[in-house]
Amino acid sequence: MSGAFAPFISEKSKADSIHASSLYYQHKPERLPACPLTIHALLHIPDQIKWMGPCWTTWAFPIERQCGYFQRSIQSRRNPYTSMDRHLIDLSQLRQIKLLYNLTDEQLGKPPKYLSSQTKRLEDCKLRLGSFALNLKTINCRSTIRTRGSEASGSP
Amino acid sequence: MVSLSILHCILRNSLAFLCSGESSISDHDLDILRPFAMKIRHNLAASTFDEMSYNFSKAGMENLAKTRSHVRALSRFEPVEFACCINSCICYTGPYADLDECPNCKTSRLNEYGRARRTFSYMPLIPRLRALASNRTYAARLQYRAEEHAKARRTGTTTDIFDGLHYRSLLGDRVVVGDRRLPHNYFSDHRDIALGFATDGFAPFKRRKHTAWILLVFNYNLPPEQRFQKDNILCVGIIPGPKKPWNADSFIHPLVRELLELAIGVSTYDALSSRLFALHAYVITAFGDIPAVSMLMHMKGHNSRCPCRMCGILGIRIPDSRNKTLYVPLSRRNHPAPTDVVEYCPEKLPLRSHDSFMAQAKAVESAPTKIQREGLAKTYGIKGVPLLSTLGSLRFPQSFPYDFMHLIWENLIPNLVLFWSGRFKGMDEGQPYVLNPHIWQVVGATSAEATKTIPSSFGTSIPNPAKDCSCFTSSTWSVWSLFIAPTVLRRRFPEERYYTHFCSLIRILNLCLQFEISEKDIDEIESGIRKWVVDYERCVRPFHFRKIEG
Repeated sequence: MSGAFAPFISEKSKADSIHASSLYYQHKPERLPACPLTIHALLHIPDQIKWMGPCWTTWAFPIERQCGYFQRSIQSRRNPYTSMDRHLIDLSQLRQIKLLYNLTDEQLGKPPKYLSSQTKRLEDCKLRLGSFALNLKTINCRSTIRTRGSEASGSP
Repeated sequence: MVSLSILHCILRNSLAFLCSGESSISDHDLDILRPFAMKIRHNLAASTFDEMSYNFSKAGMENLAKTRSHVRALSRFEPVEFACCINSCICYTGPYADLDECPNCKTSRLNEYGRARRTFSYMPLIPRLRALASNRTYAARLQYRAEEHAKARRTGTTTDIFDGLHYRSLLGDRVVVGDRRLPHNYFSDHRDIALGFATDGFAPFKRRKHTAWILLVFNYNLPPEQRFQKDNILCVGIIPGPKKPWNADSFIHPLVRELLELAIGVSTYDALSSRLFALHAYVITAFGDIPAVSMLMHMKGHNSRCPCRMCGILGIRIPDSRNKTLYVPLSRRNHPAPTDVVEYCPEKLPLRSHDSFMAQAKAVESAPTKIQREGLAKTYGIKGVPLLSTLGSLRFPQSFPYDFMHLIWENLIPNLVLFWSGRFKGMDEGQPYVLNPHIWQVVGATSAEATKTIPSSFGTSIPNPAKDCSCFTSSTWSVWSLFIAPTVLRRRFPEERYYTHFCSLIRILNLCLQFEISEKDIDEIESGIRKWVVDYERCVRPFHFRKIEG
């Protein structure tokens, strides 16, 4: 047992570890496939957070989504790459137009979202709840102001 | 003298007016754009579009060719076409620009009509960033980095990439392009744009023979909730298949050129101040899965002797086995032929630094013979100097973080499930972590059942992991591991310590996924993850802990 892992091992478990069975790798050379690079890479996560910020800033979810998007744009099995390129060019040019002329999706023919009666009711509920909460807040505010005022007037 | 300055002023203003994004669009143009936008939104086939235009010609709908030329004229934006190898080894740019055949597969560049056999369309970045800065709405949104985030920032809490040490250390640095030290610092202007570069290979068809590689640029100046929206991700090109590029640098050559131009500064109209200014943009990170980043960094990859891009840990083979894969445990204590270091300490991994990485890359590149070069490449795990190292805003390897999604939800959790269900590479016979098959079936069924009562805003619905894991994606694994597994696995393991070990992992993951990470949290993640990996490899005596954990 080297002293390298000292912070984590009590004297008691140090003695025990010699006999004990272990979790996954078990320090047996034939069980090496339990230790691919991806397990080792976990050790670098804390440093990465220090260097590059939270994990979501550089994770691959948005990349995979884009891959899926372009994969679905393939119209031809014979020329898949030309097909994807064509879609990418069309898409980029359209976005560029949207930026240059300050266009919205609605102006480009995207119909406004249709709300089902249920969603409408939900939205209505939210609105009412919102105004209710607002009222509560103002009432609370008033009462605090009043008490503060009364304190202020009472203290001298 | 005065008249000259007045003239200069008038000229500058008129130039600003010409470059501004205040152009208006006619109703006729909009009529043509609307069907085209619909085609893009719904990915209609060209034949469908043409059929529609044939049927609705009375309504004034143009055919696709005419519509496209109209769109091209309106957008003032065109792709740059480069010839590339038919087997997608290289792109004929930079050092390969004048070649007639591919240096790797010796296929010719042109066909018998003198045209490129395959092309790579590069979508320039600069016109798009210019359009962003001259659009009033977007120009305001781009201020997130310098305004909203900078104002809300508290030292000690990490909420975004701009709290990271890398960005903060860039702030005081002079911009260097080649040998030239430029007069400005990184991100000294509030309009400077922080970019992230990402790439990934994907199979265009379900039979995974072909791969195409997508090149994406993320705009970190946008607020986090808008940054990853489909409209705000810039795709600069798709490297065509059928193979993984032999030299990926030749495909990103045009991008790197543009990025160097952007580091020097590109004259742009600013919608907020209605003036021309020098727009700067810097790539501060590059990411993707392990093979993609290895390709960008010119590294030998995850199966080399020195596989880790962050540190110099050495891989080791299974003794007396035909399996050539190298593995990287911390401890090689019981291995008959261990590496020089028998026990790696998780606190003191031999980390790579920018200088050591570049020195090794240069040493490999300047090796006198091919054999020496290959030997050095093997020792360092680095094949040569990457093209991205010409960008001063990237640090090797700190700017190339391991991707959390692949690490956790494509590898770690599915592997743990394989362990528990006794299917991990045929080495689970009689192991204490294997769940009883009946119990595993019940765990699976309960997980699938639980989906029905979990609101969809928590994530996707979960199939039964005991039945079919192949339909699990990273997002399903994430929902399952974070919300369902800790409950359904409770008291299911033959030995409780496997459950406690798993729960400690979930605790760390939850800490990593917080929107605000404090210094204390980072310390906890650090010590927690080290302990977790060490425990994963070595043994924790169960009986003493069991009583304490209850």
